[in-house]
Formats: sequence, C-alpha cells, structure tokens
Amino acid sequence: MKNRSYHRKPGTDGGSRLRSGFLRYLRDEIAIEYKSCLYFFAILFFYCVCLVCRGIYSADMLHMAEIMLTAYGIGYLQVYGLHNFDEAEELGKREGFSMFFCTGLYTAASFGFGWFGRNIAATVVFYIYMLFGYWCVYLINKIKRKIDTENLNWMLTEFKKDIG
Amino acid sequence: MRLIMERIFQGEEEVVIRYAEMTGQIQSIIGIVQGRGQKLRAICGGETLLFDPEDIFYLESVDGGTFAYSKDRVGKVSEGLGELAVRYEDRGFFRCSKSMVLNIYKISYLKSEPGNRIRATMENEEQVLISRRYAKQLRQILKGEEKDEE
Repeated sequence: MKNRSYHRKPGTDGGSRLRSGFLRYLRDEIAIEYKSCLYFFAILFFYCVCLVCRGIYSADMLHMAEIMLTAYGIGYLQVYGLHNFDEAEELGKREGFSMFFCTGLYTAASFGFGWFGRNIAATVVFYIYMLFGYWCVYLINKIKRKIDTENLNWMLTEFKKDIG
Repeated sequence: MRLIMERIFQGEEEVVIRYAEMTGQIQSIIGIVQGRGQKLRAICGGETLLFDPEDIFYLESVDGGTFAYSKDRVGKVSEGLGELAVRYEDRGFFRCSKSMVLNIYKISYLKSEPGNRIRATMENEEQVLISRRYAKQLRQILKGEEKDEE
C-alpha cells in the first residue's frame, strides 16, 4: 500500500491537481492577509499619532476602511506582481525598486484620501516611515530565516548522530 | 573481530552483536542481518556497478529512468524512484521532489529560504532546493516525527 502511494505522483490526477491548486491559492491568500494586517496596523499607528499631534482624539472610520483596502490592494500586488519582495533573500535592485514603488503607492493613497490632512510634511515623514517599515519587515524575515537555518543544521547534526 | 558460530537444532535462530563502539562495519553487519545490506545494482556505459546505499548522494528520475549518484559515479538503476525511496527510507533517504530522493546523511548544510523552502548543500557541494511541501516532510524527519503522507 505504501509503495503504491509513492508511485502515484502527486498532482497527476484531476482531484489532487485541483487540491494542490487550491492549497497554493490559500497559501497566497494567507500571505496577503498577513501582510495587509501588518501594514494596516503600521499605517494606523502613524495615522493615530498624526491625529493626536493635531489635537484630534477620534479616528475617521472611512479613513480606516481606506487604509485597510489600500493595504489589501498593495498586498495583492506584492505577492502576485512583485515577487514578495519583503521576504526576499537579498535586497537587490528589483527588491529596492519594489520597496520604493509600494511606499510611493501608499504615500499617494494617503495624499489622495487625505489621511493626514494633505499635509506635505506629514506625507514626507509617512513616506520615510513606510520605507523604514518595509526595511524592518525584510530584516525580521531575514533574521527569522537565519534562526531557522541554525535550527535546521542542529537537527541535521542530531539526526546524523542517531545513526544505527 | 572474533567470529563465533554455533549450530542449533531447536529454537529460534539469532544473531547477537557485541560491540564496544558503533562503527560502520557494525552497522553494515546490522544491515545484513536486517535484510537491507544489499548493494544497489546500476549500469553505466554497459558496465555493471554496485552502489553501497550509504555512498549514494541522491537518486534522480530523468526521462523515465532512475539514476544513482555517488561522489564520483553515476549509474542507471532498474528500480523506480518511489520504490527506492521506500526501500531506503530508514537509511536516511528522503523524497525531496517528484523526481529526486536525497540521502540526508550526505547533506552537509541546510539553509532556510524564503517561502518556507530549504536549500540543501550536499557533501559534493551540489545544491538542491526543496519546495515548501517536501521541506515540511524533511523537518518532520529531522525531528523524528512521523511524516505526513499526501
């Protein structure tokens, strides 16, 4: 029975191809969901700080919905169009361009929707803040993989010790 | 190493191995007793090669044929990749893609890659990128857990 299951190549029949396609779709959707929430909260924090600085203590629900939808839209672009650059192995030209481009999109949306009252200074600071945010996420992912690499090699060594 | 053989006329046949340290030779004897000591027969340029499974770096399926790769030899084997993956599973062979089976004992370094993939560097410096699905199974094997069959 075990032999047979190995001989059947995964994804060769219609059912399993559909299943693996669905799982791939689900994996990408979860990644987008995660990114959207992450950047939404980062922008929300900046938005709230801006409001408090202007002496306003209540947030606009419409602005929050706009931030969320923008984060979703750019999340889709990141995953499907820009090779998930904030999870890249190295920051090359392509990743750098994508980072500046997406930051530009967020900044344009902030100005267009008036999240910071179309204040130029706040918009410039927001651009730098988002760029820094992207860089931090890239670094966190890199550190996470470094820790994982160390753990993998430790497990490999232990596995080899168990020989016999 | 001293060899003691004793013929018995009743009761179950048994092999007792008394060792001070687990060496490659002892492991080979254990393998033979457990019925997994056979070498893998492969053909290379009309010549028959016998591969010790421990010496194989990986097995690969290319154009419908299965090939075994050791440090300096490559040979075509008659068995299928799936069959060999199962036969040598307990000797550290692991299916890392649809067309490849790796010998974990010949991996020198593992690197975590974006998207939960793993890059394995073999002792001969060759690199193999293991996809997310198979990387999950590799982690389970290394942890000593039962791997999920899909």
